[in-house]
Amino acid sequence: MDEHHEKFVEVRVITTSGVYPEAGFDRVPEHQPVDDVLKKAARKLHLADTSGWLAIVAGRKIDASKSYRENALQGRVEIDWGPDHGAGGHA
Amino acid sequence: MHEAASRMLFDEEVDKLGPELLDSRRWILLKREYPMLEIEFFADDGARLRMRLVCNDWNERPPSVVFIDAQGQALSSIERDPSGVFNNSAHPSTGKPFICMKGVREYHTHPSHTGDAWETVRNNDRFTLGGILTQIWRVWRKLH
Repeated sequence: MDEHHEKFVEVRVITTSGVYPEAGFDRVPEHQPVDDVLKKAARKLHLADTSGWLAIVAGRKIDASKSYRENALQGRVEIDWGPDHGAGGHA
Repeated sequence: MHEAASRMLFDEEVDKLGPELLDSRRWILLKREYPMLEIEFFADDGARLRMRLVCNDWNERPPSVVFIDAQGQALSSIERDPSGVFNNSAHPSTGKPFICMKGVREYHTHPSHTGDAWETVRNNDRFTLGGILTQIWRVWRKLH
């Protein structure tokens, strides 16, 4: 008989406005979209507008609309989350 | 802006640059004494970037950013980037190379950008001190 064992990842989100969770890691199913934890982080860290922010794990940009599994993430995951490079120039 | 309010906001935002962030990004806070914040970025190829942010009147005004050497002296030339954010020409006000990017005082005071007001972005989460540093860091990381 097949038995389904759900896999989990441990995740935390690091920003210049603080870290979520404040201590340790959140344990979440690996099929959960990464966006879910980013939304929690935004609420906890009082981030009102994160449009266009990048989620980076170990130097690799990930797709936050996809799950940890779809992003090939497992184990402990530290997400560096913040705005993209600045724009300007032409002076 | 009242200095006490500016100092409080400065301290609040710099306090949030915690060890997890600094370690993972390889940033070092060299000095933090309102209104000055000195920071150094490190890259895997051995490159370093050291800057001084002058944050008087934060956040009524954006920070002024100065590239500095290991002795804290302002650099007279910098590495350019293809997008022109790291501008090696002399800024009309400072006479020094500057960061030509929204969120930096030298951008908003440059004659080419005086119509691009700081007030329109200053309360966005992209433009906290940490957000501005992140945007600069990502430009630099494209070079290193």
